[in-house]
Amino acid sequence: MVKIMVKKRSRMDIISDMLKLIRSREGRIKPTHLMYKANLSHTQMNMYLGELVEKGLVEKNCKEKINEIVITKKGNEFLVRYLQMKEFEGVFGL
Amino acid sequence: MNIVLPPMWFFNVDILIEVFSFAVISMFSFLCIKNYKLTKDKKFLYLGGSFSLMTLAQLAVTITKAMLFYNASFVGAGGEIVIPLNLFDFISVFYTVGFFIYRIGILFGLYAIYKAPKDIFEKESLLVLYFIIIVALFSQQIAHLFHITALIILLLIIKKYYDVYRKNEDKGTLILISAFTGLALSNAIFIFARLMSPIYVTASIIALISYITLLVLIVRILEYGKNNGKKKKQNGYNI
Repeated sequence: MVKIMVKKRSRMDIISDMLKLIRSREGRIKPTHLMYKANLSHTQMNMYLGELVEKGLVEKNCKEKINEIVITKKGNEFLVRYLQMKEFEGVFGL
Repeated sequence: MNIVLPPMWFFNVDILIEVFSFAVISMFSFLCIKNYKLTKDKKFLYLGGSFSLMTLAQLAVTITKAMLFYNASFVGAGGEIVIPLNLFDFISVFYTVGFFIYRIGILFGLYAIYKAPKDIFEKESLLVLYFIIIVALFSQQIAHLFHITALIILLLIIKKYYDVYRKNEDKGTLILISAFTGLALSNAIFIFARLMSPIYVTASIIALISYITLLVLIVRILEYGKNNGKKKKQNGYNI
């Protein structure tokens, strides 16, 4: 049997995954979709989402009884910087 | 002091190449500092420190060469010149200090890139720093000693990033290896620059191509972030 060790995602990885998902869906996503697509439990999702809202990286948008999470300009900028950092890290093998 | 100079028609281009190199290396320093601010991870600080050293070195050589080219009436048709060192003469002290800072900065900066992400201020690095100072001092008389040392460190860097490439198979690392290979080749050619002035020109142009390659890498890194982390050819899925 082949055992595959999957590296646990760091806090920053999870946050960037969430932001990437929101951005890839034209900047808005339903909370349940985000939870499933980002492979998070309900508790984890609420914890990370709370942090993202608190830091102004995303906003909760409740229009016409539809709950949506929207990425902010600050969130977009943070994601760009984070992805650049990851690419830089990869290129230099850091 | 022994200095190998380009032919006169190449003076301005040489200065422009130095300015361009300074700009490219300072961009890497800036990227490292930006990454350090984002993650607070010291590996970015160490790599940023090495690029900053090289930035300082490039600044020193740009100013020194500009002064030398536009100030010295003794500069002939190019090739090797000997500047008599008079300690009471401000200009000769300026040249000596300028080239000394350049040599120390480039050699120790390259060594720090080789060592990164490890801390360069550990005990064994002090010994390396001592030898680099010796090389920089002797290079005042034996100009090609600097290029031989730079070539050796660059070969070590190429080997290091080749190992990284074998693990990650990232095109960015391949671009980085190409740039360092170009710099190594340019240093190998610079060793013989005293023989004929076209050799100096060839080595400078290869160095310029290497710095352009590094600039391409910077643009690639910056574009990657804006492109939602998607590369042009990729297997698997992005979430």
